[in-house]
Amino acid sequence: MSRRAGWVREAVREREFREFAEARQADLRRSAYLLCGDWHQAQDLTQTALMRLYAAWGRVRRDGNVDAYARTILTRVFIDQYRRRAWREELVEAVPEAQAAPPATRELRLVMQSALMELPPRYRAVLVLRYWEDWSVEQTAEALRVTPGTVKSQSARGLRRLRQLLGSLAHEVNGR
Amino acid sequence: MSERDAADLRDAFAAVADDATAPPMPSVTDAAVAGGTRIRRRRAAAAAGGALAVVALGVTLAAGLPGMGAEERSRPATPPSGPPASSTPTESPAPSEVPSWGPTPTRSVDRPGSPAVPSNEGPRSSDSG
Repeated sequence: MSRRAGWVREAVREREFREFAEARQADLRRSAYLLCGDWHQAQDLTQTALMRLYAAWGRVRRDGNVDAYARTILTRVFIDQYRRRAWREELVEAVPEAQAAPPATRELRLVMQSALMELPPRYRAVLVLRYWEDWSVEQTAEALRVTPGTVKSQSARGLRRLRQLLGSLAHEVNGR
Repeated sequence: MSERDAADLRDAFAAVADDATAPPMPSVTDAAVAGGTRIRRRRAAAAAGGALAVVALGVTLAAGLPGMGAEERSRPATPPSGPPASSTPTESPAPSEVPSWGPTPTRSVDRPGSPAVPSNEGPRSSDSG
């Protein structure tokens, strides 16, 4: 009897997860792509994040806010993968703000992507969570396991660096 | 960062992560379910192994410590003063093996009123303890 109940519970659990995964994996893949800049790697990141999510599905489902949890796992997986590759976060010195007009051409995507990929991964993660996922400083800090102060400083530095990169890239594009 | 800047950045992100630029990708749901199930089984096995190790340690301690105590208790602290009750004939002292502290005939002769068998209160009685 209890064995049958367990089997039913497992089936329900899997069905719920499958519904969530089918509905959200495209969004997760887009976020992953913003982080890593490669669709195939984004696919791998999404799969790893969903795998870990399924392993903890019962608890996550009880706690609520499954979507935020999935994005947190995704970002942590991305950061961990870069850590394992022994990437070092390069310190970005304070640079003067370059007011670059956003490229209004079809090359916007390429320019923006190039600039984004130039950023250190952790800065990229902070910017994606803050301005793409629209998370608060506190949420971002919790997801990245850093202090809110670190999120603020990395966000400011990342934006400054992004502006600088966009300025130089836009200049290159316009100069062609 | 102003609201406008944030909106611009968001638009830029949306342009970068445009689905239209993505190659066709298969669903990862099946792989995620399989991988997640594997992780859960591994965790369950690790938890069961840990519990088993704890139980084994507990059993070892429970069996080991009192066992040692019983062994200690079964071993006498000091050698027995007298011969055991169920001693074999070979272990029993021969009639000729009279303790050296036994009364000598001369003492019996000297003291006619003294008992034939020495009492334990003799000068060497402390040896028995």
